[in-house]
Amino acid sequence: MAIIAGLLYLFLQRENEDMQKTTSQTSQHIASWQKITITEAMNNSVIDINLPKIMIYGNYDLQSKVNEAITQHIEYLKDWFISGVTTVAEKDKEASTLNVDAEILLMTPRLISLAFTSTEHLAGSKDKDPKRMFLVFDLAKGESLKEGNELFRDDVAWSEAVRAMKASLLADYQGDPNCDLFFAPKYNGFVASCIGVDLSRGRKHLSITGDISISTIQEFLAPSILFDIIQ
Amino acid sequence: MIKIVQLKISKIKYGGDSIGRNIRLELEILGQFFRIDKRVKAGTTVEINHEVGRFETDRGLFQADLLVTVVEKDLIFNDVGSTKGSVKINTASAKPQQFIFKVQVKETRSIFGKLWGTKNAVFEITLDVEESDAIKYTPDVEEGKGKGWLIVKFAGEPDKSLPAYIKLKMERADAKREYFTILEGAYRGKSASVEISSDNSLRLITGIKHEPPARITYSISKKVLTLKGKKYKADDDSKNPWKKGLYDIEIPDHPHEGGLKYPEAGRGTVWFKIGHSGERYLHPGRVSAGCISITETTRWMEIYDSLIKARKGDFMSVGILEIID
Repeated sequence: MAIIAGLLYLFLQRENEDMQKTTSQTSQHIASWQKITITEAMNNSVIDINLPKIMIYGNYDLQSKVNEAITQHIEYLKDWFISGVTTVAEKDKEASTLNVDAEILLMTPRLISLAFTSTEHLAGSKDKDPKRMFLVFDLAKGESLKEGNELFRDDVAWSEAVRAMKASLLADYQGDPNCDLFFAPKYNGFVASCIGVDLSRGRKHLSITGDISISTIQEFLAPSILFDIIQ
Repeated sequence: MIKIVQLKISKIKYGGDSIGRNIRLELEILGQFFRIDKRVKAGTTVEINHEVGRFETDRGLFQADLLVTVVEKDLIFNDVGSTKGSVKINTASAKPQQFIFKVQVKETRSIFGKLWGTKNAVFEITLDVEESDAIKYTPDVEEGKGKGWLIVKFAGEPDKSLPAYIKLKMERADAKREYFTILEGAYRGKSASVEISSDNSLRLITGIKHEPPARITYSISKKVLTLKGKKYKADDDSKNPWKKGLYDIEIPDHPHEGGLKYPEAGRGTVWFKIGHSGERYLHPGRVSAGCISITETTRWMEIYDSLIKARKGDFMSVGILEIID
């Protein structure tokens, strides 16, 4: 009985889970896409996630690590949303929703770079701008990058690149931003976002995203990474 | 606005005849029961100064019935007297308020159904009332990956996150939410609300005592941060050097999701801003782009625990950082 109840629960939790077409392939890697919808009637909330499942032929362990890293990132976004639903959302109003869309920015034999764009609506509360965060997985080391300093010549080059990317991203922004920079490599450049608050607008939530041209950071990049990106 | 009404027994005056010295005073109000035993000599007044109860109210007039019972304890015969009364407290008044209840206790002796005893004692019980703003604090959220942040609702704005132990003035509560004004930190003076837990328990907490300001030193040449005699390996950015001197360390402002890369840090998204301008923080991390990064990320909770309850007294800071060579 417990097993049947559990299966029913899983079915209700994941009402609509299906694998869709393969979208990207290199010599070793294939990404297929899963669309997952989680509906929680109790909290009047709906989570829609569109995420890739990476397949690496001949290396199941590495494949598991990449997909685990993607899952962890999604779990974080879900956790944060559920916390907001619990303490902020007005449950008797419209449903609270979270949409997460993933995008593969770069797949090389050494790196897999992904962007996650999350759009959140908490019932009864004003919406924040969508948030774009990144995951860069180093297939050679078998782990996701933390600060991304491995992409640059050294730590000093990394800190200079961070300042250059932030200045480029915020060049046209009118206000007083206080935000943390997130970035990831893509084909022929980087993508970055700055997430924080605007001090000149009463600490209004700030989420800016944009492309960083290769010329902005080229001098700081490790040669092997530069080679990967411009391929 | 929600007020806290605190009732205190300030003194007991023992008048009339002497019926014995071993006095027990019992008081019952709004389901709270208080009892105290005291030796009191007839004709004297004894100071008590003991809290009887603490009540939250959002009304201008707080009214409650109470029952006061006085027992003179004897080995064989207890003498008992009680009185019912009520307190009406104007919560808007700043003046001290006092209530006096008289309880008459008649000495009673009985053997084989025959009663005698003629003495009458009169006890005057004085209750002092103190009223104050209701103060609560944000909890240190343990669940989920965004540990250390309570997400709250701001009227007409997107939700915001508050760190642990932020002092709040309670404004009102209804069946679903608690409403408050934030008294310190980045959102000082702002009004917000939070949903009451699904088990109907209140999410905000009481009884938090802030600690004295933390004092931290950071050595640029040694790359070592010292707090409470403990040393932590750290890093800064040589291209964006620190000037020697004193800096305030702020109460955490908002979640810094870069800290999610360090799950071993426990409260990795809770960063402490250094100084009141710019974007330099104390946080866990492997490298620095201008901040002071604690590279021993597994020890971040030690620093967090020392800072999160500390207060400098300016409503913005938890302590002081001294940068040395």
